[in-house]
Amino acid sequence: MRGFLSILSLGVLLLLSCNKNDSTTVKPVTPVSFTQPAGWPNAVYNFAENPLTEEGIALGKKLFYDGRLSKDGQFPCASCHQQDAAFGTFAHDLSHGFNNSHTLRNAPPLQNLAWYSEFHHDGGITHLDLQPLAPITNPVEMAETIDNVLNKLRADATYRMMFTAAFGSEEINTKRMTQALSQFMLTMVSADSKYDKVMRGESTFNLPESLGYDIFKQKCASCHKEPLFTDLSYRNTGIPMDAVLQDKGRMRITQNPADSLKFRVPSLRNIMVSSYYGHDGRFFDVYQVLEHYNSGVINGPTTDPLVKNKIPLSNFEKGQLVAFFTALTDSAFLKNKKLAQP
Amino acid sequence: MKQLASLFLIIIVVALGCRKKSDTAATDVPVTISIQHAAGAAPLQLGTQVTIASGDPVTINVFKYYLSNFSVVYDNNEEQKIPDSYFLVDEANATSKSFSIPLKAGQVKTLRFWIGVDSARNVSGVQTGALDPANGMFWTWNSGYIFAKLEGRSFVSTAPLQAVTYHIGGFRTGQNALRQVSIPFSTSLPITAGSRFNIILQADALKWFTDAANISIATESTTMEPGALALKIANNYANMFSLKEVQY
Repeated sequence: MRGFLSILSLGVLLLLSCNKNDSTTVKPVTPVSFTQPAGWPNAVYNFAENPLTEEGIALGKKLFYDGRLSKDGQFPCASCHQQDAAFGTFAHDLSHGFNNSHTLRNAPPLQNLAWYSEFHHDGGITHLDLQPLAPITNPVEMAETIDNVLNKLRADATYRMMFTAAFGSEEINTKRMTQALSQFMLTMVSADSKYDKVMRGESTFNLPESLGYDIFKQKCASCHKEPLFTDLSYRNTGIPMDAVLQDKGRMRITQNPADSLKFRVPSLRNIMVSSYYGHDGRFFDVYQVLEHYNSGVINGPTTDPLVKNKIPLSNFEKGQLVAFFTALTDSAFLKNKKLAQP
Repeated sequence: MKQLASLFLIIIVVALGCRKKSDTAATDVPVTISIQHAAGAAPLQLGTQVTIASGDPVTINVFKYYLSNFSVVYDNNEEQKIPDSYFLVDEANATSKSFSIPLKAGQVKTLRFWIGVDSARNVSGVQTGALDPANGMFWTWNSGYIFAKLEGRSFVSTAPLQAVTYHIGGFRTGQNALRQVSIPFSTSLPITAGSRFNIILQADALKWFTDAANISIATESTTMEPGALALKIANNYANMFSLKEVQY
């Protein structure tokens, strides 16, 4: 019997040896687990296809902050997605791109992306991994070609080393580059604001925050659904089309007139640090946004039924709402060194 | 003796285990698909002016497209799908116009494939190889493959530089430009272990402008997004392929 066992183990060893694999020379990756905040819906990103690793996240972070992803070296992802503005563009309507150009829309904050299956204000991008290709190739953003970016990375020994560490070989292709960027962006989770602490029973709202939360639940929460503070739907909130930008929103993707002027409901998380507001950044502060719902809604064929009769808000209610919005600021996220420029 | 027998057994198991993919490859017969591009009766020449069905002149400079999801139908009506069969065919790149697909032995009566890329690959993140977005056949702002590209010039075009630009794609409901091609063989191809078939297909670029509906370059010079003109052209080029010859 012992002889049989040893022959069996020899057989197992032989079997293992036919499993040809170059990984003998490559260090194993260090897995990172994705934390699903308690009470949140399940994340929709397919982590099985792109498991988080320390090496992949580090590579994604380097790419995110590297200007070489743009044509002239001046426009890393981080030029429009700034950490202290919840990875939006601080105090800008439209963002600046290559050769003094401006973008079509306001740069959205990047947070909790693992819960999104469509990206851009119009939802035109169907996968987080595909998202970086849009700004990289857009002539008014980074203005580069994918091929040029890949060639710049291939010429850099540090990148070759980091791609090897993250993916097991030196090969640098679009899929690996965008998967690494996704890994880094997936770590941009904002779930530690005062609101979150209150929900977890670790803190309590003060009176204005509490009054604001009640008003929010009554007048805002059906679209800005907790805990993401968006229901991820596309809606026309009665913001008239800018004559120069001519942006028809979701209809640009679906070509369906019923989608004209619809944009995705933005999250309210970190709203107090991510001005300006609206898909084209036309509102300078949150009071202007609130006044839009109170008095500015323009009705058209696709205006959302929930806003077409406007949302009456007194000055008192606006003040309490803003107190509640402040409780959505997640300073741990905004100051997280792991997300900061290396 | 019992130990010797089990040793033999293990060696056999190991040997079978090591065969892995090579044993399926042994029964697959590579069949070559070669594509020749035409402009009507003449071979397509990039940069040479031709006349389309409406009478408009056009000079084609870029002509490329994806072929995908190949399958064959055998005489017993069994269909064999070729997994991961995605090819980017480019008139300007000779090696892209010939590729091989692995078939099982049998009597093949029909070859099928799609012009374009199936919706699953349009929504499942970044692909590699022929489908790498770095190949320039991908809309980055409205995720999806450009299934087929024809670019050129025509003096009846009202676009800047008198350009003719057809980037055809779209996988969403109401925008689906994916078109299937079916090539029946008058005599079934006897695929056997040693056979070396070369199926030569012809694709007529002028079909983009006619067949289901005529295209007028003066009013329809440009499409670079999914939609009505893309569908109109896809309905035309769905019939651009014909069987030219089978070599063996």
